[in-house]
Amino acid sequence: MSKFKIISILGLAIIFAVGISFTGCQAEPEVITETVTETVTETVTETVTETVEVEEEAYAYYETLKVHAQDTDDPYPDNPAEGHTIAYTDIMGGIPFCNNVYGSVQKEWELAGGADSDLYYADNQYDATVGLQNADILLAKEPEVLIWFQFDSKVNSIVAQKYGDAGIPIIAVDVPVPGAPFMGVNNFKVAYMAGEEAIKRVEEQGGIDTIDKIILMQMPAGGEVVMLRSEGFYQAFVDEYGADVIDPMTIRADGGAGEAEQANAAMSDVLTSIPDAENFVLTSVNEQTMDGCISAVQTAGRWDPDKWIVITQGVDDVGKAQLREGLTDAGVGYFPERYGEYLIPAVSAYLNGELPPPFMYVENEIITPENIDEYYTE
Amino acid sequence: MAENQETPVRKKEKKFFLSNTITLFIVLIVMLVFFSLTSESFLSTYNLVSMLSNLSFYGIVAAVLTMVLISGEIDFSIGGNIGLTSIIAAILIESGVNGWLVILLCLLLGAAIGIFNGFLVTVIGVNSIIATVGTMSVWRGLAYTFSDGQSIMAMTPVIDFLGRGKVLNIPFPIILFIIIFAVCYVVMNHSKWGRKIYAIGVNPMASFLSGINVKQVKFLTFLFSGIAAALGGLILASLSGVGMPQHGEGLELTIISAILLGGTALGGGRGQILGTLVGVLIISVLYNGLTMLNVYYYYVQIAQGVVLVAVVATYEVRQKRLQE
Repeated sequence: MSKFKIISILGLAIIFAVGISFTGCQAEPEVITETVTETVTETVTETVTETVEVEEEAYAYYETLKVHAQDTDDPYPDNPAEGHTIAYTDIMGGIPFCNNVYGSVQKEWELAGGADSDLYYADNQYDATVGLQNADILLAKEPEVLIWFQFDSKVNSIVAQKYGDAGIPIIAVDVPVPGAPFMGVNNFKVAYMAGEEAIKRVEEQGGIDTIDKIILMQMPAGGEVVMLRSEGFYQAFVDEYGADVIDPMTIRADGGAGEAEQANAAMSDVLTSIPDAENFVLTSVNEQTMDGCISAVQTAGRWDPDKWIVITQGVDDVGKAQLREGLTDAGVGYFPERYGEYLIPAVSAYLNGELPPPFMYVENEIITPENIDEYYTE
Repeated sequence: MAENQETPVRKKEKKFFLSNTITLFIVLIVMLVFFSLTSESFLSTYNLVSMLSNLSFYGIVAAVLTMVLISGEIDFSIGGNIGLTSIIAAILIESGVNGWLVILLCLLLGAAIGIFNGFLVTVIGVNSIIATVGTMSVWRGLAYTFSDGQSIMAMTPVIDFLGRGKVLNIPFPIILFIIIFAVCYVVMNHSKWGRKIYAIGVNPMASFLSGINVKQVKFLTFLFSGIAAALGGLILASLSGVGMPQHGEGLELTIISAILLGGTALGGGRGQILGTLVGVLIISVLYNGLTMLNVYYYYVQIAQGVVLVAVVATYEVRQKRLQE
């Protein structure tokens, strides 16, 4: 036997050994569920406690500008952004939700007196490596504040460290950054709202006994806080029917980093594993992933709107279309086109020596095919 | 003596490669001048240093992968390898394994991956595109399986140093990048083994008949490619502070683009390590400079594609002229 055949066999042996040992290290699914639930409870408790502790007067500057931004389209008083520079990163340019958020930031920045050229932009492309590269590029431009929108919460610690060293404050959008104020949705609250809406429809349909499976299309890569966006949904069901009923019928799937393709593949796998199930409740972290899920159901020939209760998160342009086409039953509206009304007042606070609150949650509404025109004209 | 004598054809080829590399350098310099004139911060020390740090992990892989391409093969599994290595490193760190041992085990894993690819291509005889596209999915799938789809913190002093440490105020990944490029340059331009790789790329049968162990040389290039990708995965885990199953996703195309931009032929037998270096720099400078100018990513992609096609088309036109 030649030398490199021997080396080849050794190599193969190493790969199999590594494979076997790591597969052996896998935690049981039950253990993972417990950990998630514990984390959910801890994080919610922390969030509530901290929110209660916040004194509104301390953030009067932010609150005044926020109310102004929400009430009128007039320029901000005293042009707080004039002559300043900020940086904004997009989680994934081109996605309707992100376009709405950035459009809103641009609009409010202009109303606050900021120049278009002083708003630096970079697209993180749902890629942590690109995100890190962008963080460095923007840091070289020395903005006064960074609005950071990136999908993986753990990578954010490196970004926080770099900007902390440079003395540049960060405002985190939807995914937390250590030590930075958070702007976005209260993930547990919106998920719970979605859960309650789904329960309402389950009851209209004849009760929980008519449902075979509850599918949570999750995004573990987004970290624990983003996981609340589906765990809250589960919790609403548990509160209504009890864990003994809900646990056996709940399927948690990893829908990837929030894009349609990965969710599509995950949903196909889920459907293959439950060939006999017919009646479902489905939720996912955003409407891109929901798009992937629905298309997987249709491809599998198992799409029947009467047998699916589908609740989405966000209601961006994709979500609106899904609602209007009758693909989804309801969505929790995040109003991404209004994110700038929170972010730019927060930025302005920093630029003028004031502090924004540690948590800035958007107000949410349940949007259905029946009431969508009240919020969005076609 | 006879070995050092160059035929007129060989001289022409050398001149051709040299002028290609000079053309690339000119493109790079034009870009540098353009971006430094249009963006105040582009030439700042912070920007240049961080740009080099961020490109180091894939630059290292590109240098070694150039050898694979010159030998007439390809390795698409580098991205999956990077993702898997970063996850294994993070799991080992989380389990309290010593940082040095983590590096050693991950490099061994990279070697095993390279050996597996080499085995498929040289022993079984599977086409390298098919073999490595297949293993790319396997490594990526394993990364998702081991991590349960989640990113895992990968912070320990030794690993931190690998991607974020400094020696004489120079980031360590840049030092690694320079060392590996220098080694690859010497190997490909001043060693018998390098000449064998070129010869195999030009004509594997003739090389075999002239006594070169074609399979062994190709096998070793895959082995080194696996190790380099594992090193890239370790550096990336260090740069980001996490192991992620998504690490390195799509990177194979960026790396191969940089290599092709550098003048390496997909069919083998043609290419220069120096060209790859400039290719990596051009891709990185283009992204950095355009992002500095607030240009949307779609336009950056268009620009990268246009530069790649334009430069490679220029090579082909000149190659045709040379043959005529």
